[in-house]
Amino acid sequence: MLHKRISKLILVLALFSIAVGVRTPAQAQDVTLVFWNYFVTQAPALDKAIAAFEKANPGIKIKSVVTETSQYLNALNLAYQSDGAPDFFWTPDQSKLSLQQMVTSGWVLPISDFPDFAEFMKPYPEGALEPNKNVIDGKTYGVPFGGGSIAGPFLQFFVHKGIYKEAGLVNADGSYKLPTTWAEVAANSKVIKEKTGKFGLGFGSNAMWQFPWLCQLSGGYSSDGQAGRDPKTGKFTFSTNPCYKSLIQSLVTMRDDKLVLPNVMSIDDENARVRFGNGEFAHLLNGTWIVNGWEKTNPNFKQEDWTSVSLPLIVGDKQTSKFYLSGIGGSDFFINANTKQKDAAWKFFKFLNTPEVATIWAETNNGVLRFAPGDPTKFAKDDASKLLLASAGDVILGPSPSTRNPDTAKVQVTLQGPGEIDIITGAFTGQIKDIDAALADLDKRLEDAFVQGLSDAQAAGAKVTREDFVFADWDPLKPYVTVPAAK
Amino acid sequence: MAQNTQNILQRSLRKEPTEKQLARGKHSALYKNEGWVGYLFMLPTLIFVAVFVVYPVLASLYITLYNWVGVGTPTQFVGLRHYLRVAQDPWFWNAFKNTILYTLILVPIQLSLSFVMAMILNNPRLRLRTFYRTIYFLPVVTSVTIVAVVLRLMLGNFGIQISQMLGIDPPVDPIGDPRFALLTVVAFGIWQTFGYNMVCFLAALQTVPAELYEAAKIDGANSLQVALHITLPIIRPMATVILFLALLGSMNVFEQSFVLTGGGPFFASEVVGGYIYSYAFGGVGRTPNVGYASAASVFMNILILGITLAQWFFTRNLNDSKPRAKAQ
Repeated sequence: MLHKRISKLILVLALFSIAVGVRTPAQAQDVTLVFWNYFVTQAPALDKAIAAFEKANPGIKIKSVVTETSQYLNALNLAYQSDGAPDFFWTPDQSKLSLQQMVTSGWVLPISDFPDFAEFMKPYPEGALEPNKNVIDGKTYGVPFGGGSIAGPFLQFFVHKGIYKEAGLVNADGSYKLPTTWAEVAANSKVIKEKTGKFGLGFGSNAMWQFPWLCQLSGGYSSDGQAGRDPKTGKFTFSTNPCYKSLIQSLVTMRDDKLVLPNVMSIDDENARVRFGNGEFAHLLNGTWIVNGWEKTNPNFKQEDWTSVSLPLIVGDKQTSKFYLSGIGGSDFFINANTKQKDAAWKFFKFLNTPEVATIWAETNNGVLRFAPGDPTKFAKDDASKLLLASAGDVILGPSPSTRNPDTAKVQVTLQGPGEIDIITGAFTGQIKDIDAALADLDKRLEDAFVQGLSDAQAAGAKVTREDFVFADWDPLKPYVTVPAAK
Repeated sequence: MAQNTQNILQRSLRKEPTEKQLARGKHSALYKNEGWVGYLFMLPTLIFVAVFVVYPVLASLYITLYNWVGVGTPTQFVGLRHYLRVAQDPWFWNAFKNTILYTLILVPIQLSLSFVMAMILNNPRLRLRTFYRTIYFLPVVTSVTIVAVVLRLMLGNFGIQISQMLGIDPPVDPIGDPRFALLTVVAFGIWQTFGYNMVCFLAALQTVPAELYEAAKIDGANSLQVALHITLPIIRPMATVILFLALLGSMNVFEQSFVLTGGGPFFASEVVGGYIYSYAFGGVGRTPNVGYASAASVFMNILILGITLAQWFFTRNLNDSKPRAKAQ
């Protein structure tokens, strides 16, 4: 009888506990931080870092939410408008939404308000914080992830060794006849077609944005998200820089000679990478991040089957320009200004900038961060990583209008009609016949859009002039430190 | 056609309420209080429409007057300039032309197919007709985006081989060749939406009284005569609505083009929905300007309104002219 009563009592207590949600003391302290990002190939590294953080901080859970890259800014914007923004987020494309705009909209929390901020900043190299990229009105909002990447050109030219061997593109000493200029790419592709029947070049239709970067070493300019504007004059130069026309003409010739995979306009970048791994074509322009993907999609495609070289020069055989950074690394992630878990978010923020995370990042082949301990080359496991580190000299500081004057971010250039990527596509498909006219028209439309954007910004009170975009003393082959304009 | 068939047809078409029906309605409680009760019933929908339709439309109109990236408050007032720019932009008109082409090719094929299939599946003697109806309706309830992604993968990888198998010489790349990209989007659109119109036609066909068909059969009418002189006149009001909806749906095409071809190559299959999207959210190398995109959206709506009004006048005149022609 007593046994029955005790059983009933336990049952009633259990039901009561469920009903009122009894918590253990440990559970009551648990907080969950929602962390938005767009990492897919980097996800294993991030998961590893999160697991290490949760182990070190038992009361804090991190919920990583991965959003598709192209929709990331829209999703974040909607989340803020509907009061559902994450506690912590990886930065959206800052060429589309500047830090100044995020601060003005009340999105981000100044981390310099935390009492141990000065202590946190001690390991950062000099110049790590830039006005308008990290600091607005004396407050710091973000720092370069892990002290910033040890920068190298992230775009490289991948070469399929198997096809080169099959086509006999091998020197007497056994090394491969790797291209350094686009003319050599075209010539090697012809040999490949003749000897093997395979294609010289392949790409995905959504990766056309990579082609203008081929001109980056031949007098092409891209700074603060605006491609084609010459910082020395502030003018657009797609039609006057011979690189773009040469590149487009060469692509068209390669298409006509049937050296390009026939259905490139209907496959995407991921598909092209797999086909390269399958040995359908010999050259692929892409980013260093694709190497990790092959482990899943082409497990038999090993390091000995491919290599990568610097971007082939389009015009001549000498570099006339480099890749430009506006600073060490800008701001990579932010804490939501409205989060209820400020302290937990700050703990996570600090953790992501430790040597432990930098090591995880580098070991998983996602790039070497400055905080990764020891010799950075020890993390370079494949040719792409080695090249990235070896060609760090190709990436230098360049002029940055938004560092000089934050109001330049208020100049909205709404380009109507096709941009340079569209023009390359249109010429390749044969829809554009007159390349000169198309590039000249692009320069004119960009100039008109820029003048209009400048005028609109000025009318709305922005203190910005065309001179803010002109750096007459700039030497394209030397680092340039942009000095913020005096207020 | 014989007189008895005509009489039944006239009665069916009139559909006037009987005296009994009218008397019952006048004495009901609802009839007495129909003023406020009616509004009460409408209130939830009115609130819904006000919040989710009227407010966004008005907000969108306001945004058209500004440069705005979509975050924070619009501050750069530009007046009506965005409208002028949209109207002068050849790439807007290219997208509009593609939208019109999509509509002009899709709607006649889609409606003819739906009508014929509905006629076939309306036959009570057809075995497994519910099964066939489900199969043809299935694409409507399937996510356009998912199907388009799968189709893109299929056509991207095997498009050229598929065209070879179909005997097309030289083989074509259905989504990568600018000459065929829009046609592929149209074909996908037909496949995806024709089941919906088929069900609408089926519903319309089921309003045709069976005795009409029996009478026509007795009078010796063949299938074509039955379709032209009985079925079509009775379902004409509903067919007009189906036509309106099909045209409006086609003019608002977006996902089919956006996911399948991305509007490419080089704008060959870009429709107005895609044009608006690219400016609202920014694509590769393009900065978003929600103000400009909203102006393009409003401008397109004005164009659609014009086309719809023209269609309405045309349909009304067509309907009015028939009785007059008969009277003469």
